Amino acid sequence: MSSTLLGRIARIAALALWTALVAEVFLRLVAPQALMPRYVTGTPFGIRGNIPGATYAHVTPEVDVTYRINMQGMRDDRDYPLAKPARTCRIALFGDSYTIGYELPLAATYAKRLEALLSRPDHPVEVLNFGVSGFGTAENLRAYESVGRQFHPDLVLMQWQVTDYDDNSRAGLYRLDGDHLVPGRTAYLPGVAVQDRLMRWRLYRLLADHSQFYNFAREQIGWRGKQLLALFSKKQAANAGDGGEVENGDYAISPAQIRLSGALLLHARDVVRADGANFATFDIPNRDLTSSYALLPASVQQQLPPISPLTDFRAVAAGGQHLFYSTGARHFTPIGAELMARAMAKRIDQDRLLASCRAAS
Amino acid sequence: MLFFTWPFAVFFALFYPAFLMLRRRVRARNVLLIVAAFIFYGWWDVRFTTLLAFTVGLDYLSALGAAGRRITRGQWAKSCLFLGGVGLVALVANHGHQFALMTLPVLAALLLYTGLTYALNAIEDEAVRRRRWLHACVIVNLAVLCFFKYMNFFGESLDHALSALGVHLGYVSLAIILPLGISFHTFQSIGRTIDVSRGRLEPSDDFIEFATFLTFFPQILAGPIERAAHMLPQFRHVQTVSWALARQGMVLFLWGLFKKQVVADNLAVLANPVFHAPHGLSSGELLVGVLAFSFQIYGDFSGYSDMARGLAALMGFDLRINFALPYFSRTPSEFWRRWHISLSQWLRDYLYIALGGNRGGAWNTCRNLMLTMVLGGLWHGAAWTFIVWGFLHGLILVLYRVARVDDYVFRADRTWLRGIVAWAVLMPLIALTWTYFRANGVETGNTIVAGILGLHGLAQGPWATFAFYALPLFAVEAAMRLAEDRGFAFVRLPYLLRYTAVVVLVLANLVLVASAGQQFIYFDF
Repeated sequence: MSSTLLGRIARIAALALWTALVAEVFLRLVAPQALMPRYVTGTPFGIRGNIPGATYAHVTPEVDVTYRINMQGMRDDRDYPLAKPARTCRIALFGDSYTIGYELPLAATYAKRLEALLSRPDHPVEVLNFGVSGFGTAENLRAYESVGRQFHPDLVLMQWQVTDYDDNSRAGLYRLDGDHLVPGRTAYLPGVAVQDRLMRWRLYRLLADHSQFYNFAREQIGWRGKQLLALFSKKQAANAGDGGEVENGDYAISPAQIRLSGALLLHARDVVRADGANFATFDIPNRDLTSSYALLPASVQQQLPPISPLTDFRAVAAGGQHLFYSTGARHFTPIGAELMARAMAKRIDQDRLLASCRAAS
Repeated sequence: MLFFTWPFAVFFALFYPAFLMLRRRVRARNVLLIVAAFIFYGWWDVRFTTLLAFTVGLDYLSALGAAGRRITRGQWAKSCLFLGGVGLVALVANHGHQFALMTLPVLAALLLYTGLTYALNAIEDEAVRRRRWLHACVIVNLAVLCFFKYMNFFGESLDHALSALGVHLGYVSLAIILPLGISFHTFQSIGRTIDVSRGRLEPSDDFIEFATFLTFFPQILAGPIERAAHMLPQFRHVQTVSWALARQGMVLFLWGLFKKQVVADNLAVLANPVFHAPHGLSSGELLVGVLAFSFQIYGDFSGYSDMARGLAALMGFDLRINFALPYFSRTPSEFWRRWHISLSQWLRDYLYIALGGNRGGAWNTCRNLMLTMVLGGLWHGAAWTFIVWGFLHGLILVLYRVARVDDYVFRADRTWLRGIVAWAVLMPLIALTWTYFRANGVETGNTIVAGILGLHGLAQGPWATFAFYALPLFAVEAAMRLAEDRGFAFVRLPYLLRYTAVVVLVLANLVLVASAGQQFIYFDF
């Protein structure tokens, strides 16, 4: 290796280091970023999962939250036996970062709030939180089939939110053949191999946990990559004569994505019911207090009316209270999570979704 | 297709390698530029590509005619084939929808080309023929411009006026969409024909070269309004694309992006509510709104120009500077030498001078200044606010001229203090004119001005946010202004400092972007 080449490499390395330093200082001074490392890995079931036993923190200008993942990959401070304890009803929650409770302490997550709202001294209720950041309906369904059903839940609540349209089509775990839902690829592990390799390095974990520049860069690459992919998938949908997209908040949703998501939800319901459990969906409202669930086919909305806190959200927002954080990943505030949990509890009581479990115990 | 969107990034990523491959083959490069321009323009609305093609064809013929030449069949055929070809592609791209709307105007345009060619070729007297072609170019171009810009306004105004008298026309709005950039490319092509008719420019028979000039995509939507004498030679030769030039282009693009995305779009968030509902706001809040808009429009428009110049530099082309630190002007005439330079010079050369300029005494000069500025205001759109804006600028120019302020400010023994005082007097006046430019009506403008002059609660208002976004731009430009005086330039800074500045610029463009992006203000004009 010539000295000139070595000199160039050294110069590039020095510039890279200088860039990172300037960026870190600039971000900390001018636009503080949220530190939100993602502790996910691959599972044997071909989807991502929370890293069992992981403990990590998210720090934003508004919150500082520590997460503990139990050895079963759920956000909880204890493990659960597969067999359901006597006189106990079990609810399994499937969803993404909202469900895992990003930016909320454990006690304020809607999973824990729901548990508190439904539990009676003589009839405890366990709410098992299977949320994994980035999941859509297809991955939620795979998670239920591979892990969730082993815990014999009496009720499965599956989250819905606007990103699911895109997540479901991008995951490719299922696809539509005409009107029929058929299995697609066997695994969807975006970026997991790279992340796993990086997580072995202490320096990387240090960056992930503490560097604003690293977290910013990762979010930017992910977000812009998604935008680019969406551009092509939209073009493909348009080329296939799929008709125009529907605008919902920041998202443009194609009719194909709507049909696929509707079919997935109905299929998830059928799978859960075949196991003898009840099934319902809950709708995470958009930040502008609209619902993306309303875009689903009318038949899906009729068969699976979602649990929605939208009416309460609007009333509370009109009073000036914040339901979503304004920094970080902008998830629910404790008030938002509380209203979500109340809407769930109300619907569970109203539709007697735990009636058979309570009667049996 | 906006410069800072994914579609443009993909478009440019595909275009640029092809451009680099073809850049030494002038004709192929020009064809590529034309195709790219029509894709770029058609991305917004494919139907209007035919309008662009019409302008190209008409002005190609007009310039030849205005030079006194008789149009040959070949030249006529080039225009017709170009328009017909673009029309056909547009129809296919529009999936055959709106067949009549897309074909009838093209057929009418082809008839117009043919009619003009035969009728004006028949004129024996060359001087008359030259004049007629010039008139045809100006009248047709302005008619098209007026149709798209003013038809709705005049139709609705007439309907309102007659309704008041009890006469109901039943006017149905045509919902005419303003084609993007129409004012810019119309002025650009009219300017070229006028230059040819005045004998300042030799018209080229090369259709592709002219089409490349008129449709050059970096500047087609919002200028600068280029001069043929400056641009056409560049399309005749291979342009050098060096790493140093490309680097300069990228920095210019980044700086333009910063002005648009960070400064303009964030300040729009402060300005919009003030102009939407000014009643009941304190003087401070109103003042922040007006100042925010003053910086917004500057960041928005000069940002676009910088991005256009940056993109052109990446291809080895040189677009004219359109904004030269206008907010550091000391007199209104200096302001107009620094603000939207290409339009100011266009108005000066083709309107002010045509009206008589400063010949004919003080009174005529003042009248010509007034007329030019009011017409310049009207160029922005048919609204009283633009007329008031133009009138105020005309008035300021006239007052400064009568008081001979320029002579005093720029005289040989000028001092710093004199310059700063002149600047401090002029800037509030400029901000005052922007108030009417942005207001939804003259009444709203009056309310805002009266509210500010009321001087109640001056400290109120989002001053900190305003300063956060406006001050960095102001500081950098102040440094550039000082450097301009001392012959200093950014490129002479130490490498590490320049590199750090670029890193900071990139980061600012990523982290400080307003959550709701705004379309370029001048797309509406």
